[in-house]
Amino acid sequence: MALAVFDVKEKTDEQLVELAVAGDADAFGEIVRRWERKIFALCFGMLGREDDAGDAAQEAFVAAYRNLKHFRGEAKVSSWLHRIAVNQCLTIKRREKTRAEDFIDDEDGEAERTFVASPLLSPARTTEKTERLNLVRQAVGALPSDLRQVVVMKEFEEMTFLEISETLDLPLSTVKSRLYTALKQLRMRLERTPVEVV
Amino acid sequence: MMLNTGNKLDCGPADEIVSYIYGEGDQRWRTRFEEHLSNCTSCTDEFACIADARFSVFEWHKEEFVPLLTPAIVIPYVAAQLSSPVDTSFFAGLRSIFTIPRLATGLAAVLVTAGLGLFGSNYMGDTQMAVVGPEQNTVRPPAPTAAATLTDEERSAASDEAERKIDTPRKQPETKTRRGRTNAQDRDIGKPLTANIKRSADRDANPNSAQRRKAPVLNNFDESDDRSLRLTDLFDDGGSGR
Repeated sequence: MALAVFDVKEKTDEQLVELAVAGDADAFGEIVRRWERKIFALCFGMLGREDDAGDAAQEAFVAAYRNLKHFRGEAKVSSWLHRIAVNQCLTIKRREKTRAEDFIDDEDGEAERTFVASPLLSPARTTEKTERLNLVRQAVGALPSDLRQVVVMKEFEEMTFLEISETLDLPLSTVKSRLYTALKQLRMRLERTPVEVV
Repeated sequence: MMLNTGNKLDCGPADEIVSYIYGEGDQRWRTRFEEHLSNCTSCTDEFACIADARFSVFEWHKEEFVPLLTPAIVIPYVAAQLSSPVDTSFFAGLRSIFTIPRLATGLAAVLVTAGLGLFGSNYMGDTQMAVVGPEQNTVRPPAPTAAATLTDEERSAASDEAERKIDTPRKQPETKTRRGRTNAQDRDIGKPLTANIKRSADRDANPNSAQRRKAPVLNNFDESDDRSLRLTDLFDDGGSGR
């Protein structure tokens, strides 16, 4: 069993999909393990709430598993998963519009920043999380000061783009461009040092 | 399929992704962006890339900064003032009169008054000196005379005249007072009163002074001239009324 898991980790995404279509459950599990965080981040970027993002990511993987046979290999597995996740988020958004109580929650705005930590984090996951946070701290600290300034003002001070542009006396497009560049560089630095899940 | 070329997408400015991720832009624009995102693979991949980086920063902020407690600022003396009972006794009121602000106000008033007094006294002294001093100290040069142009005979006559003035005792000039009397008459204070009466009678006899108002004579009082109301008149009226 352990040898099988080791073999699955060696496979590419496309090979894993082929194995999953053939009926290998561990292959699809490896796909989920590799992409769950990124899919969750995408859903969080679209929905803005962690609980909704978790639901959307789970539904996206369920939809991907059901549609494994329709994957034709024309695009990367990651792109295929991204599109499934985006569509799933849009479905959730449309569903939310029909709920009156969710409108009240949106007006309240309190739940948007509420973090619900999972009490079922394993020691391995906790270690992985700690390592990732250290990497993010280093990556943010390594950013050029003008880019880091915009990241801090946006993410920590929760300022709008307009407020940042007025504070720094910069055009609005420059502020957006700087934040985009900063996040892009962060992504590249984090990709170079991936955190291995035990 | 759209291609990602560096920091820009062929679909439009790539930095619009951050506007969407951070929840900015109006709903109409966001709906259009979502429709495009569901149909564009390259934009979806770019969106996932940026969203992953953003979530890493969000997670770092949430895990390491949000749990930090904000220190509570406690001002002890406010609690002490609220908890201490209010003393309403007579001595407390008396003590409150001499609290530091009022004492300072009183002291300031005393100082200001003393300062004004000193300033006023100095100012008045200076004014008197300024009035008296110049008259005493001013030595006016003698007015130029025509002596320089006089002949020897005229000059000798002038010197004789000056010597005669020196030998003659100086006499007080007789000035008339406001009432038309001389100073010598006013100085007769030691004379008896009759003399003054006599003098006034003489003055009345003078036709020039007849136009003056007749002064009341106190010792020759005539009751018939007195028309003032008396107590006897009241009693008479009361008796006749009965």
